[in-house]
Amino acid sequence: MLIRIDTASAEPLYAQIVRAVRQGVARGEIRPGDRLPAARELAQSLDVNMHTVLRAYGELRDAGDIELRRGRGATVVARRVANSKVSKAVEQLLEVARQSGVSLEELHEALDEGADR
Amino acid sequence: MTHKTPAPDKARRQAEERLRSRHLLVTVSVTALATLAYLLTLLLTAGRLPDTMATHFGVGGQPDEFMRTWVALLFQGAVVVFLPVALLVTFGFANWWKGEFARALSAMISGLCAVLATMFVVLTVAHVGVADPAEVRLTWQMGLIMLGVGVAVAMLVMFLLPRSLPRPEPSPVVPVEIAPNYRVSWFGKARMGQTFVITMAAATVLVVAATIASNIWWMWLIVLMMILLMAGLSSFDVVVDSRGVRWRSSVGFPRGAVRLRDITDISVIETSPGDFGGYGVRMMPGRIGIITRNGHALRVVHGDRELVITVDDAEVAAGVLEGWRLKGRGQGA
Repeated sequence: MLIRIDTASAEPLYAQIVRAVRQGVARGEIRPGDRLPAARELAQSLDVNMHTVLRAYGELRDAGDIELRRGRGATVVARRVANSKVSKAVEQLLEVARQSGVSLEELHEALDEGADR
Repeated sequence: MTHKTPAPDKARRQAEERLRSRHLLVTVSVTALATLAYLLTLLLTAGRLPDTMATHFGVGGQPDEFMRTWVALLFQGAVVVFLPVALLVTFGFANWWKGEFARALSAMISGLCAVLATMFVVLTVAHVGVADPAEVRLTWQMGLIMLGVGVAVAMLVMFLLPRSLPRPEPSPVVPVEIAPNYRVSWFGKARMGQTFVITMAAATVLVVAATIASNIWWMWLIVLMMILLMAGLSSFDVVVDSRGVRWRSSVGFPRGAVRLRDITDISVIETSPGDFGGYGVRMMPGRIGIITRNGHALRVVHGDRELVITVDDAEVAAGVLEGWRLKGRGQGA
């Protein structure tokens, strides 16, 4: 899972971490059941305050993306798209991609670019 | 993210296919011949063996454990067939014939199979016409025969098999852009495939069964070691950031690191357990391999040493590391 944060961005650092983790899950780089890096390790690696990482993990937990358990750290939770409209759109998008010969990887990249715009 | 492996050219594919056929032909033939030799021994000795057989010997060669003959013969046959087949299947899934040590691995499997078959043939023959199995002795001559046959078969296999193919060219690394105000880290895993975990679990269950059946207390130490090995070697966490690359078993140990300033080259290579003589943390002169599968791996050269890790997404890991290296050299964005 690639985590890239921009310290000059107007977006808070914790929000950038939240977005990077969600992108990692969407791309399949981390799977349900996988553990995220320990908060201290991630903070040291990105050279940010540990509270920034804890806030990001708290946000992800509140949104149901991860579980936080004492001793086990942060674990990614399996989620399903509950909204039937979105599920249908996903199916249609996958069908169009299949017919056009667009790989899943390219589709992920296009979605990421779209989300970044 | 999954990355497509570039298709190897036709000539290489054909050469790999030829190599695979040769390795499989030789190792399967040796296993089959060993099984045949054992079965032949059973046929020739039928009706001339005592009701019980000595199955374990003390340091002086005197038997100290016995088993009913038909159980002992069945058990020996299962070991002669099961162990080499389990090794062949495990290494087969990992395409061992592609690795640098493919010949040595084939020789090891064949030699082991030959030693086992010879041991059981010699032991069975030693029981022919014996009224009391307590009279049977395991002599140093018998040991020499087993070892001799094993070494001879291993050497013959080395001689019969061709050399490994040279490593394919490493894939080019695309550095991840790291602007001055960017902080970039990559967290990944190198994890054993299901086949390995299932094989290890099956082997552990077998050893537990053998331990309970034999009632030998120190066998529990082997069981404990196998469980620790399985826990320690099934998954590794890998971090790539501005400090370099760090790896750690999911249970915390073993672990290691290469500092960014010591890195002299970064690439993505095709590797297999055959390149490192097996799975897990492979320490060899000048190189360490964290090998959990065959396929793409991150390769980091530092001085005259190298670290190879079969991480998921080796391309991105290499890109981040190369990005930091370029930035350190003042060539970053």
